[in-house]
Amino acid sequence: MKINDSVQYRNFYSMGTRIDIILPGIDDHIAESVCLQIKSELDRIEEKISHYKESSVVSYLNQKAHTEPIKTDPEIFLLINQLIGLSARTSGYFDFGLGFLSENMKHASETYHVVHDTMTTLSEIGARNIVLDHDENSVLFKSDKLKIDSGGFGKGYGLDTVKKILKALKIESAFISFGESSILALGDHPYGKSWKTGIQDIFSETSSLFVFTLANEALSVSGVNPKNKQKYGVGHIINPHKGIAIDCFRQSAVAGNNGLIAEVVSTAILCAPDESRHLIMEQFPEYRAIVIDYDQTNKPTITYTCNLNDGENY
Amino acid sequence: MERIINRRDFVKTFSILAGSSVLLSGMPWIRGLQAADSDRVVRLGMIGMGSRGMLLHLILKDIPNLEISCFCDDYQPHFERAQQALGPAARGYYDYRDMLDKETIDAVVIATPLHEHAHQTIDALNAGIHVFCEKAMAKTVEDCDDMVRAWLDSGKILYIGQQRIFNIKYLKAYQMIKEGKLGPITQIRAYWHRNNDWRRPVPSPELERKINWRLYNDYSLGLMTELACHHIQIANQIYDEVPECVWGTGSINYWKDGREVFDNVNLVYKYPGGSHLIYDSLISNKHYGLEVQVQGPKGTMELENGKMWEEFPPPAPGILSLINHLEKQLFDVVPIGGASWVPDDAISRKGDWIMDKVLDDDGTRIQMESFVSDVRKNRVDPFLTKQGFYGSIATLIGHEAMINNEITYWPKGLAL
Repeated sequence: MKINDSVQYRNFYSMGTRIDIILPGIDDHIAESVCLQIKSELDRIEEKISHYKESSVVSYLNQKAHTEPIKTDPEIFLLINQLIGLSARTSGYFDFGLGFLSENMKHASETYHVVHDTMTTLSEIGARNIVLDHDENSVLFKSDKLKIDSGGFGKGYGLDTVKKILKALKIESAFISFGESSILALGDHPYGKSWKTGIQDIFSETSSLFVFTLANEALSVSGVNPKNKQKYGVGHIINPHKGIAIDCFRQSAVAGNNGLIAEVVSTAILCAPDESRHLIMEQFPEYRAIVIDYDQTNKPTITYTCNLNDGENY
Repeated sequence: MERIINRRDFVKTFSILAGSSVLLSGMPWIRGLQAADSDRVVRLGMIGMGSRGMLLHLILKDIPNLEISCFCDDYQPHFERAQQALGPAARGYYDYRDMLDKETIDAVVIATPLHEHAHQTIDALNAGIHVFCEKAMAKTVEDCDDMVRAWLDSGKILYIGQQRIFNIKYLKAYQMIKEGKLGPITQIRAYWHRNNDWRRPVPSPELERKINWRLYNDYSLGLMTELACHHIQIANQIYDEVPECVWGTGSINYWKDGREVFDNVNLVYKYPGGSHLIYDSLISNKHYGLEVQVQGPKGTMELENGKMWEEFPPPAPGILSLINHLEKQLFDVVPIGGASWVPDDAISRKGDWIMDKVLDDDGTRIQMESFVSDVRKNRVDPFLTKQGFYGSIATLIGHEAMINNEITYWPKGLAL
């Protein structure tokens, strides 16, 4: 779809979400070709990393890696290695190995807190219980309860992949959205400098609570909003230190160069207590962050900011 | 989410659907079913009490002010089973002509093997009796044509058992298609796959053809008349046309057990304007089950499954705002993650349900209610007879194309 003579728009579903692509400064024919390449690559990644797909590499690991070391696809091995490192750098407040808990939460949200001995389970699962053999490219899980949940990193990894494709094709300006929770903004808006991206109130469609100015950067928004609380009875994000879902309304947003890191850090600072957020952000000095909390009357307050650029405001 | 709804919810949903101008103009039977019924008792006879006849009886017996006063079946086990089910008050016959002569009835329901449909329907209509006849209409184009001529002469009601016309899921899909949700329909793919020999147990060898009539050319055209005609009728209805021609091939490639009808068929129907129905059916693999896939430039629907995929899904709310700004050449904030934002897993390539909830009925129940209601009101609906007629003719020329191994055209001058 052509928005006007200078801007193209496409969208499609991939990686379990809606991908929206705005491409200024190229013609219809090139936009079609670019988007086909992006879709093809995202579908390929989804086939490998989605824990919802039975045939994916991640699903295979979830089924088998507790029985013996599994020699693994090099791309996924490198990704898991990177995620283990990121989990450590966030003091474990990002953990992609809690799939067992999130599945149980979705299927039995009402009884979850009662049924499981959470702390015992937590000690058996999570990134720290994944063993990598770099000589063999193999992955071993120390427990049969350990399951990778790709929901916490897939879109970020996808964003970085899209960025590589656009760079290779010499596309200098683009705005890419993965379900409006992960954004990649390249170059400039067709009618202004950079891309101004606002974080909205989860309870109203009023003006943005905070505006990031994105220049060749990714932005990740994590949060517990009324819709997913309604769906699961609790929030859908699990605090890795406590093993329970975050039960209050809260949003976090992180901007920076790398989409995967932005997604990881936004999840981590959403889960971490106030005193731990600075420690996490010290590990990622190039990234900017905010946290928005909602009080009993659903009034939003920005309760945490870090490394914001001049001019970024609320 | 619970997707099967109860009867009360269904009536509510149906009422909402029935308010659609698209449906009302395309399907007059809906207006007929909505109109108030009198409480006049309808007297009905049933011809054919095999598995389909018994199923129809189970539905009919729950319809108020309907009396099944007589039945007919020339196979003793079916006769006895029917007598037991209908009770001693229902008079049983072995010959349908006896029944038509002796009984005073408003309508008959015919659920006999295909080769019986034409003469039974024509005799009933000539006797001034409304007819519901199971699909397919008949075994030859000539028989179908004779049936509609008898119908036109009689002024009576003739329903052919194409129950998907009455399936609420199909109705909703039809409404959306006519409203342009998929764009102009450029292709329909349909298939019906099973994995069994399609046989019924035979108590003694001389009854083989009587029991397994679907497998023999004298009684049936197999997969085409027993299964395909459902999906072919739907294709006609969606295109709002009959096919110009059809080509195809069929064979017996697995169940080589003495049967005469094909155990697999593959056909392409061409409609005016160059759109097609691609159809296949087999009974040696059930992996894909059955489906009708309707395709247009804006999306795809799977009618059996009740799902839809948009080619171009609507933009997320924040992206829509960005597009609006760009159209006006404005540089403004892109708002993301707001109250109308839907969490990621709410939509996916798994598609969207055409209806949030469905009734556990393939349309047969509403079809029978509609028939009884029309009989009570003496309301003749040409739309339904046309759909049965055209669906059956298209089915029969498909069979002809496979048998003669040549492109077969719609019979010249054949129209209602």
